[in-house]
Amino acid sequence: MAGALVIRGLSKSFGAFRAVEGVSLEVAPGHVHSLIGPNGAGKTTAFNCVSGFLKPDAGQVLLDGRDVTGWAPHRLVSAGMARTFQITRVFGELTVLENVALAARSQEGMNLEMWRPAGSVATAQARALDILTTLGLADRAESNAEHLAHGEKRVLEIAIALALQPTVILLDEPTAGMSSGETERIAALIRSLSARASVLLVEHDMEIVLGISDVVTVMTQGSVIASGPPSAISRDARVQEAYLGVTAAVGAAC
Amino acid sequence: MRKTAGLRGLVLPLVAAGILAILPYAGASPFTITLLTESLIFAIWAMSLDLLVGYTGLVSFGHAAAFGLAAYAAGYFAREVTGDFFFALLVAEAVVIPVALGFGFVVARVSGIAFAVISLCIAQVLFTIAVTWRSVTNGMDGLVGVPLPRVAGVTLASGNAFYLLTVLCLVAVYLWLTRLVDSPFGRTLQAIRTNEERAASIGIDVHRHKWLAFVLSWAVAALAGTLMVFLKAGTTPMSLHWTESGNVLIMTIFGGIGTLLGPVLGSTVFVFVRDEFTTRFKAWQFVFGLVFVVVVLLFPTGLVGAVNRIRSFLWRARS
Amino acid sequence: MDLSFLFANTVNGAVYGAFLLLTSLGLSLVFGLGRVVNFAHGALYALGGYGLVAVMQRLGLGFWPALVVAPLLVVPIAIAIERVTIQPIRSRPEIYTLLVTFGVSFMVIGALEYVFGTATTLVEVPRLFAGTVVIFGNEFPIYRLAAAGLSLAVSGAVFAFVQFTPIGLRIRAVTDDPGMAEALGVNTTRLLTLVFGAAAGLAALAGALGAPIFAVHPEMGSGILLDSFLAVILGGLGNLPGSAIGAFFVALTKSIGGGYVADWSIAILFVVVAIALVFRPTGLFGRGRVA
Repeated sequence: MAGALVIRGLSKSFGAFRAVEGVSLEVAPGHVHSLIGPNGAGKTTAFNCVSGFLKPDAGQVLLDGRDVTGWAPHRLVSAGMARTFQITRVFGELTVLENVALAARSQEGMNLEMWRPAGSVATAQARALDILTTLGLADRAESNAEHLAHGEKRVLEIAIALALQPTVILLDEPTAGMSSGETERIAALIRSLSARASVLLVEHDMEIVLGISDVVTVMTQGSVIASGPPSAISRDARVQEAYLGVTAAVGAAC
Repeated sequence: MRKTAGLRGLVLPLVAAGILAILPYAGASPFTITLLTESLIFAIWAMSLDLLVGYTGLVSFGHAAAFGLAAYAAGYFAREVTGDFFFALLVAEAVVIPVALGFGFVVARVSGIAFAVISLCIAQVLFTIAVTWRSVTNGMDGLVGVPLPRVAGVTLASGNAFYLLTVLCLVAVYLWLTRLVDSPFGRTLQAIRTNEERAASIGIDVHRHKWLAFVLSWAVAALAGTLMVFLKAGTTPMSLHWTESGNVLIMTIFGGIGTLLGPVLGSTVFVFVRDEFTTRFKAWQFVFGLVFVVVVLLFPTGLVGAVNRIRSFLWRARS
Repeated sequence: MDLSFLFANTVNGAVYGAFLLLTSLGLSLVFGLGRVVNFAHGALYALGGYGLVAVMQRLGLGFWPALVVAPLLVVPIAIAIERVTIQPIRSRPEIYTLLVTFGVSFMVIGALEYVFGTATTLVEVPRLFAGTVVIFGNEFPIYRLAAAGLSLAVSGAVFAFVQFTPIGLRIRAVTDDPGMAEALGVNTTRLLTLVFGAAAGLAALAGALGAPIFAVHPEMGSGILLDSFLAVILGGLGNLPGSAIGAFFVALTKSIGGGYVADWSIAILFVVVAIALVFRPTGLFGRGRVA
């Protein structure tokens, strides 16, 4: 199965400020890999470097062996990488179905088709409806995307990403601003995604992350301090210190 | 539902075209026909701008560049070689499209204010060339002596005949553009207009699409420029001036951007009102500016938008 | 190479540059502060020139009193413009302020045409600086040099104001980081109105000061408007020293280049600016992003 994402020695500075330094991690195919760390750790910067929204100063990003470092976002999509956004950026004035169909048509290479009406691309429409049904949004298909609840918009973002038929999905703080009920739903959804693609997600919430990930990488102040399965990470002294500011001894007692 | 919408989309424009075509024979004065011809030419020009502004989200302050360039190219060719309309149009496109490809590639890298300013600069460069290159363009006096147009060997000597040609062009362009904006390509342009970054993240090559939209819009504007140079039997550098760009911008915005029909309405209203005003009052420029300001402030969706709002208001009032 | 010719062009270019500096500084400040591109800036310049003419003719004032009064008349008009047309749409995409000021410029110029007609009005050089002076074999009207000097002095004052006064500090803060400045209690809306008015005053002063040199007619502002745009874009919007360099670059290119390649120099300028804007959207010297 495809979807191996390898990041090596990623670095990015803004002037004198080293936001990301020498970050490396590997997402194995079919895994859910979480990148987590306190505020200002540099996770978002690293994430943007991988997904083509920032140009890294150094380092490599390899997607299934291909060097895609510094590629523009639209090229990364054709290479099999899709991402969602922390601040949802669905196309509000379009319907939910249209949002997904747009991505589906893009994936089918129809972006330069100037004659046929967009709605007549049956394959895209069918696939879009399919994805929406799987994700439980089919009943909102004809609503304008801007009228969706926050949690539904998040799901829509994932639907759009899926329409691109990626081998790796990058999720940017997928549970931000969600109620606990919605969070559960999203967490289950993310777990189910790993059947189709590898998932790299950036998150704050340690609890969720420990529950759904196969591998967790922890960053603080621009560097990786720990990486491994959730059980190891939750016991890692340095992680606890970074997050909770407590000493290892106290941590062990908890 | 798609199919009937397609057919209905065809019927209305054709009916409107039919009405327009009958006007000269239904008692409209030759003067009105001339004004109408001018409005319809502007309508084509404004629709081409709408493709950029309303559908791709790129506000151009230099759309006169495409218009004037085509006018000069077609006019020069018609005067020196032959007044055959289609050949003149071909020449105009042969000049405008490569220029658009060149400029468009560069300008598609930016958006917003930068795009507006650069498009203004492009038009100003062409304006300066038109004024300065006297040997070819005859400077400020402009190109004169453009002969009557010929279509398939028949000289269009009457205003009515040329008017009908213009109506034909307008309908063809309108049908084609409505098709275009409904296609996957058109949808991606609209996605770019909504949010460039988001569009890129679903695999859209934003630069290429902006580039293409630019070239297409210039190509359509070139048709308008060609028609105009025949209507006026010539052209001057003023057809490249930023005040002309301002005119077409207001026509498009006033009519309603992103609707294609809006620019058609906007240009007709503009031409007729301008004619009324300049003959009666001296304050045309002031009124023009005032209308522009009011539209931008209060009616950014233009005539069509206002009509839609009234319609939905009445609809809600009824239920 | 005719050195005398070159010298004359350079001096004239520098003179124009001094005026361009006044208008460019205003344009740059307003953009850097509020990301407002004021297309009506040229119209305000023209308003200054006509203000001078009107005050001199209708009120019978001399040149120097009129020079003080004219900008003071334009400032409230500009503030009204800012309040009515710009403030309401500040939350919309930036292109809207460009569009609305585009319309305002038509209104102002149209009004000037309506009231004063389209003919060119000549303004006499004030007696204090009448006459010419000969430098390196070239004759220059004294007024030209005096007016340029005055423009430079005022520009210098503007620089000093922005650099050394508390208000100037607030201006620089908001230009750098509007969110932070607001959080620290700076009333950015009021500041913008103030700066807009001041910028208009500078433009009007330039128009009035330059009237004896460049004559007065309703379209007198369009040339300097475009040149100011070029200067500010090259120098970096919101970057005052950069705009100053940009202003002189544009003025000298037009003047010296104009002497040898006539109007082509303007075309070349536009090309340079367009290219610069594409590759360096922050202007050659950086600051506010245009793209």
